[in-house]
Amino acid sequence: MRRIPPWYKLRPQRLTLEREILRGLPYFELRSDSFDENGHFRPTGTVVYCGEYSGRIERFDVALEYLDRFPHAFQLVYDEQKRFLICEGGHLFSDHQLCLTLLERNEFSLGSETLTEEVLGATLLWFDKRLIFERRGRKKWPGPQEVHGFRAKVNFALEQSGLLGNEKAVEWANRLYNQVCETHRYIAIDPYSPCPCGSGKKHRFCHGETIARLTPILQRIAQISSGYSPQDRN
Amino acid sequence: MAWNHETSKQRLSDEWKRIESAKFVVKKLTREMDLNNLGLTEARLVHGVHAYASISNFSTILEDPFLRRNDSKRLHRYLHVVRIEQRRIIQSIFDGDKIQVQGPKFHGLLFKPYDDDGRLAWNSVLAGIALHLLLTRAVPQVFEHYPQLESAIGLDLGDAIVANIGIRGDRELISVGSPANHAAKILGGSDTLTVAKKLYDCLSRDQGALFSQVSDVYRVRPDSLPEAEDLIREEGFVWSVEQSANHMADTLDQHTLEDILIEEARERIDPLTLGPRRAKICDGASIFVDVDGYTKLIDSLVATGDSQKITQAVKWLHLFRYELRQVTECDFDGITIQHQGDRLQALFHMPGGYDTRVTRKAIDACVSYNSSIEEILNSQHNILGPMHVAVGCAFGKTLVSRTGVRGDLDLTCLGGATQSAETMQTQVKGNEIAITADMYETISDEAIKCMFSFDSARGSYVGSNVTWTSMEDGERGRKYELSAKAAYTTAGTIAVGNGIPSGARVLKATRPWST
Repeated sequence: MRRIPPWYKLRPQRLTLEREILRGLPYFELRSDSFDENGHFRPTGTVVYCGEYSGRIERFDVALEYLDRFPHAFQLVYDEQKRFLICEGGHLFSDHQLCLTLLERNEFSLGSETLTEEVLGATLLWFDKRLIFERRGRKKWPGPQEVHGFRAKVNFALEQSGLLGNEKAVEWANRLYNQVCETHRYIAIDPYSPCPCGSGKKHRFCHGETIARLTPILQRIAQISSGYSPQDRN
Repeated sequence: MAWNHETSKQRLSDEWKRIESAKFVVKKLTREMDLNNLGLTEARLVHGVHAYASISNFSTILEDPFLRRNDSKRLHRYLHVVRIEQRRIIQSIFDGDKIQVQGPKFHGLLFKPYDDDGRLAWNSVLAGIALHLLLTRAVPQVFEHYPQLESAIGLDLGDAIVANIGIRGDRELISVGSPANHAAKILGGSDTLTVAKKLYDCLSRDQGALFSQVSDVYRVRPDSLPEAEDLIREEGFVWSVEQSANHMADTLDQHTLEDILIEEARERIDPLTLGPRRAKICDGASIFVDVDGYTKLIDSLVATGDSQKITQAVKWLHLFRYELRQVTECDFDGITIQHQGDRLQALFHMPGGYDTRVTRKAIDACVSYNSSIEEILNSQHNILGPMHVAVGCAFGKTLVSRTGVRGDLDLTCLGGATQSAETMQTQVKGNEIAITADMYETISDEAIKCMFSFDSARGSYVGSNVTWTSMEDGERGRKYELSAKAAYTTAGTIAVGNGIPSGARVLKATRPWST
């Protein structure tokens, strides 16, 4: 099968634009903008900001990895110097990649020219939050965060269906999730069973879209049968 | 003008390089040496008796309407004359040295004869008696209609480090070690002379019989001693109540009330312009900053005799002193009043007439002292392990003056606020800041305000681990919880909130996730 050329070969003008954006951002100091051995565009630099009260300058060295599908996939950001420990609640993958967002949330404007600025802005805030997290003794992440693992995806599916606040529905989804984790098998949800929201209607005629949202997630969990899969990040 | 993490880090780094390159020596005090010509890079390990002569009714004296008349001129002259005579007794009669005058307390050091603790202990008791008689018998002869001073004397024997941190001929001796601290801590009530056990054990049986044991210290009422003056003369010390009264009368003649000028401070007080005939009054915030656990550390090092570590500890003290002075004078335009061993006393009174601004500046300075120690000294110059400071701060009318003799003047602050700040500082632990309720009310910044809470046991507002970074963390942490948006301002800081100012660059606040 013929391989699709990487984004910078298809749109060389976008590469030029990216370099300009990286050089122009006031909170990012670009150090190098070369390609890695896999042919990925991998610029490195320092995210920097100053404490409002203390005047303390905080610097964080990062490496950005542009995926082949860029700008329809956002860049992966790595803690280049391995400054932060990988720990529970610290939002770092085992390869020191920052866990910036749950992909399904579509928090970044994929395809747009502001994508890099958004990703680096999110990196800056992640860094600031991580510093607070460190100084709090790595106990509590400041600000909103997703729950860990695939449960976040399940919760997001419920959130999209407007069921996240419904205790019965959450309990039902948790039961399904635990069942798949334990048996490593996905048993299809019966669309004619009572809706988990407690309305008394059949699922299909009440919150039927939940089934469509949860099914691929639960199937995926069943496939990989454990909580971590590097392929699943993107 | 304010504290800045990067500036503080840089200046401490530069100062540390300077201290490191200077040949720093800590030697035992011997016969050939004296404390008068002690250089800045020298310190002496002195085996001796630390004597504290305190005016136990000092608060009453400060509030006395007669002494406060004419801008407290009488108070200033009263204390000045007494301090000169106390100094003369310690230096000229008992061959010791004056360390400092700290508000109500006079701190002296007796170290002769060398290598004879028995004689040294008894001589120091006699010096204590002389200092007591000076206040209770000689002073009333000279100041007939003045309120009577009450005396409390504390003595302790042991090893302490004495260093000179004064500059340009302005001698400022400091003493660090447990005897220096302990002698002040064992001070009893009015008209008492208290000695620590270590000193008591060096006295002969007859000498010791004069004292009665009170918990772990030994106490005597010098007034109850028959012919106390004769005891001093019998040991060959040429001193009498009459002699001190005459000296004080001479000093008094040289300082008529008309000669003394006490003015309201309209601009920043320059301590070098103050003296026996010139003092200033201001509404100011007094701050005491004390290193928690430093005395214990010095004691343990002295006990082990590790001279290299003692030198490191003295170097750290110089670095600490340097930084605190920089924060006071360069960052907040305040006045360093005194270094009292491992403690700093500072005063903030500018801008005059704007009390709220002065108190805010003082609170900012308190936070900055703590930030310097916690965030920079402890991380960049952690040579003694983590050190913490206890800070006390109060605001009120303060008389700023310098008392003593030419070349050896002690800058002092007199006033209720100074007393309160000192008391509050002694009540808090390391990494804690205590401020009065009045000062707390003036704080307008919620980020600072929420760091303090009222401590009913101590009657003050106390903040624990209050540094600029912890404040930022607390404030931004709270806003991150509540706010969905964040803005990056042009000043290079992160501002979090819903109202994004025009021209600010918006940052994407995501919900981090991890598998």
